[in-house]
Amino acid sequence: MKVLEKLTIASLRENKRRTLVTVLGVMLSSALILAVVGMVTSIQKMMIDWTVADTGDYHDMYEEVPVEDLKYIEENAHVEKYYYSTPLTENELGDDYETYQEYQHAAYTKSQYQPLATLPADAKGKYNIYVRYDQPKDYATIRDGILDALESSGAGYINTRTNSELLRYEGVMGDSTLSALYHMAAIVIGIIVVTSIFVIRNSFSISATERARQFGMLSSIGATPRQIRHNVLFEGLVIAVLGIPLGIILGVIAVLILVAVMNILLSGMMVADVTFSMPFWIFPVTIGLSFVTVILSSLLPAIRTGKLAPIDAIRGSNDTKIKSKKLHTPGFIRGIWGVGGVLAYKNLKRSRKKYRTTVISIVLSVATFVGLSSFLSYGMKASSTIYGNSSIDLAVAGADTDFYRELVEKFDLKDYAYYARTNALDIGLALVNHEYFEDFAQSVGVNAKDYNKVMLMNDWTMVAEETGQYRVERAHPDLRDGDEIDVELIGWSSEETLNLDTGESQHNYKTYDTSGNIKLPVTKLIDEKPLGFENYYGTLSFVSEDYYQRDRLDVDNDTFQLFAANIDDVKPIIAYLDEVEASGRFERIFYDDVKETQAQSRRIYLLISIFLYGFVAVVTLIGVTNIFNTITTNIALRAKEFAMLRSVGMTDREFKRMVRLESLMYVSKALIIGLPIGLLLSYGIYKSLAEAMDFGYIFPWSAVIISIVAVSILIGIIMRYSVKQVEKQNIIETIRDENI
Amino acid sequence: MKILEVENLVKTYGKGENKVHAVDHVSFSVEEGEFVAIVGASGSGKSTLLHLLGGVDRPTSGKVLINGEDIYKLSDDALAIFRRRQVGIIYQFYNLIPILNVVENITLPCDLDGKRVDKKRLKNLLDTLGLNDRKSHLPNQLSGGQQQRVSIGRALINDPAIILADEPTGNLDSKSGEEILTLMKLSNQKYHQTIIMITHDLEIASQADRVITFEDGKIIKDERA
Ligand SMILES: Nc1ncnc2c1ncn2[C@@H]1O[C@H](COP(=O)(O)OP(=O)(O)O)[C@@H](O)[C@H]1O
Ligand SMILES: [Mg+2]
Repeated sequence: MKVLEKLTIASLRENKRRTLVTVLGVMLSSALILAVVGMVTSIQKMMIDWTVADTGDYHDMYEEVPVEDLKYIEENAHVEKYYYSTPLTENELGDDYETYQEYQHAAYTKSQYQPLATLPADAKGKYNIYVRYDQPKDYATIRDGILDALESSGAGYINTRTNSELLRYEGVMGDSTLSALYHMAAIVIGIIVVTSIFVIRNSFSISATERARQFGMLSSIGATPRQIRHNVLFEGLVIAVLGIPLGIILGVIAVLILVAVMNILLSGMMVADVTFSMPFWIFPVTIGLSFVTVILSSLLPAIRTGKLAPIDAIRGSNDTKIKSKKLHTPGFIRGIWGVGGVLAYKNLKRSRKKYRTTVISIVLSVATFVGLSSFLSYGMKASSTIYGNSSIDLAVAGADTDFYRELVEKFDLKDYAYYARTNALDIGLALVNHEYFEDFAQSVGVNAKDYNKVMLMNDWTMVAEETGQYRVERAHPDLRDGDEIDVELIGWSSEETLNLDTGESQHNYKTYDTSGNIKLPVTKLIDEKPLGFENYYGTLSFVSEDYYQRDRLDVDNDTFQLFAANIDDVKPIIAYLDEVEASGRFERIFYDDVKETQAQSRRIYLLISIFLYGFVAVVTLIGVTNIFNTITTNIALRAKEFAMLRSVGMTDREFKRMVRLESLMYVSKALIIGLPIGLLLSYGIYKSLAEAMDFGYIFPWSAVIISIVAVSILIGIIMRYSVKQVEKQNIIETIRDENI
Repeated sequence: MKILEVENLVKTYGKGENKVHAVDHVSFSVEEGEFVAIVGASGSGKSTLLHLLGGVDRPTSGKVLINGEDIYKLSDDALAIFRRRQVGIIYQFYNLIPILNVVENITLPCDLDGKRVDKKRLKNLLDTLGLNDRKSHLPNQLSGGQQQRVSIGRALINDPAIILADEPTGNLDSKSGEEILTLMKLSNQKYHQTIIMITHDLEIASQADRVITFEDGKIIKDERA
């Protein structure tokens, strides 16, 4: 090994801790790159599996190929596999449109075709052949080749149909979902690379600074700037060789875990599982990107080091250069922190450069954390608006009250309510089964023994503001408990039906008794909403089902809906409802396993959280490795200064104070810059999502507080640790150590 | 033959009221084989001058010619190679590489050059320097005088045109200092080696062929013995 390389290895060995931390940074960043790409390819694989499950594993279908011409397909070198299905004859098809539709569908679904090997030896006639090519990219050329061969053999013109869905997911044809996925991955990787370059560069800077004297000495005896530059790059190479393979292993493990977690969380929601899939190209790409990251990280320090005049390097006067500008230390610093404070302040002001790197690392982590966590809270808010944080577990509609009673008894449901909402009044009126109504009335402090007279009204309504956001306010602000409201009976309602034969829609008008207005007494205005109405906004009155004669309001028995809560296991009920639906007892029965739907949305939310927080965590970790490196090194470089301060009699107390103040300065400076950037980011995310949501900007308080606390603790710990390392050293040796 | 010519050399530090003329329009020349001592008060600019002569610093203005070559006209790489082959610098605090042993430290300039080490020359040097039985010692296992001898070996290994020494004995006891001086004189007489040495010990300076006195960045006296 050349002497310079030997020196590099020796210095890496000597600074074991820093080397380790730098390797860790490189490892994390390449693991992150690999994980992002690996997740994308795995999701792509899932889409492919999904498509294959649905349409079959073929690229082109050749219609009605005569059995004697099959060899033109079989013998084509690019055909990887093929299947057949028997086309229906004209006779079989007949004029029946439905049969034809079925056939059309069957022709493109997997269940209908079989491997060609099973084709009987004495097969005759024509077959539809489904072909998978070995090089999907060239599907058009391969197909043309086969068609030419078939045509020249006299088979005539053969119709083909391309499985474009599969080709899209295999990345051959443009697909917007897939390309969106890849674009997103590219952006994320871009962020990772830039962040990592920034962060890892620091480690090389530090090392180059520390080795400046050595470089200066080497250069004074004739090492060229080129040799020095190469040496710093060589250091990068060593770090890369150590870090990248580890990162790849870690990345593969991370993807394996993520895929497993995704499959657990999304189980039952998807047609096909996410399959761990990492095509070979991922590895060279990850290695390449990580390598570029490391080399770019070490390039700048390398160039800078090469440029130094040797004697400056020996004196260590560039990176550690101290500006001698005049400084006025604010009085309060001296007042509160004493001499130590003054020294800390001067240190920070006169060698900003050293601090900048640490501050920027913190800024980066804080900004991503605050920004992304508010992204997450919007996700949560949005998903709760869609799925609601409803307390119900089951919803059934389109059946009658008798059936609901039957259901309640059969499955022993405890908490349930059924409602009908009538449109015959100009305010919403919900008729509630009286058992539940009595309970509910009691819970809002109304004795509903005489439930035929009690009407509870929820009078809140959502008002859209000009900003596009919503505000909740009272619809009838003057209304008081016990008041009567005038309600106009609406003369008719219409029901639209679609005639399936003619395709025309048809309005059925129903006429109600429009004998003028009626007065309804409001027993109590309530804020509470009964079971199943948690997410309902708008004026709604609740009465017992017996409150108003059904006939007068003309509520069809089958407009009732059932909501039930606190069900341990909804599955058997759903199974029963499936049977009921199949039996045709109710024409339009609809039911939803709300519990499962909500659980699914929670799981999706959890999954997104894992991804986003995982990303933030790794970015933060990369940042932390850097902060650790910068601070420990800065403190170590000041060992002499510390030793001297103590040799002239600075007490431990003063010393500790000085360190504490420096930490405080770091933290406040980083937060003062980082938090606004993070908030800006979070506002930007809000703005870009604002159209899809109907709620206002949420200030990410918790993220801000977590940032402040976490950064303070982190810096505190690292500072204390580095100072401890320095304190262990012998005062005199430290002072003597650095003579030039 | 003039091996070194300095023309109007200037080096200033700082700006405005803080401006320091460390080397202030200095011109002189040195003949091949001369042994020159530079003396002067601390802070008078001796080290700065020496660094400029050795091409390890950059002048504010002026020229330094070694063997007729204007060294500050060279590219950074060429200048480094020039230093490697034509200049040997000895510092007051040795500046050895702690993880390299005696032989490795001495042969460092050859290694940088990618040159095979001349075994005979190395053996000769080690003999002359009295380091034959310390070949694989690390710097921290050597006395100050021995370390300085290693750095002299390192300066001499490539047979440079000129040796520049910045108070090479300043950090040593008088006996070790004497040895170092003897070594320098020996190489001057035996190999006709050109040497420029900074010292503030007039006793040592008096043993040189020529003594240049420095004050406030200027030469105020230049005497030949
Ligand atoms: N890197 C530097 N920055 C600013 N001033 C310097 C620097 N190096 C030397 N000086 C100044 O240049 C002058 C000459 O210094 P130096 O050549 O080291 O003196 P000597 O070696 O004769 O003791 C001194 O006044 C010193 O303060
Ligand atoms: Mg000096």
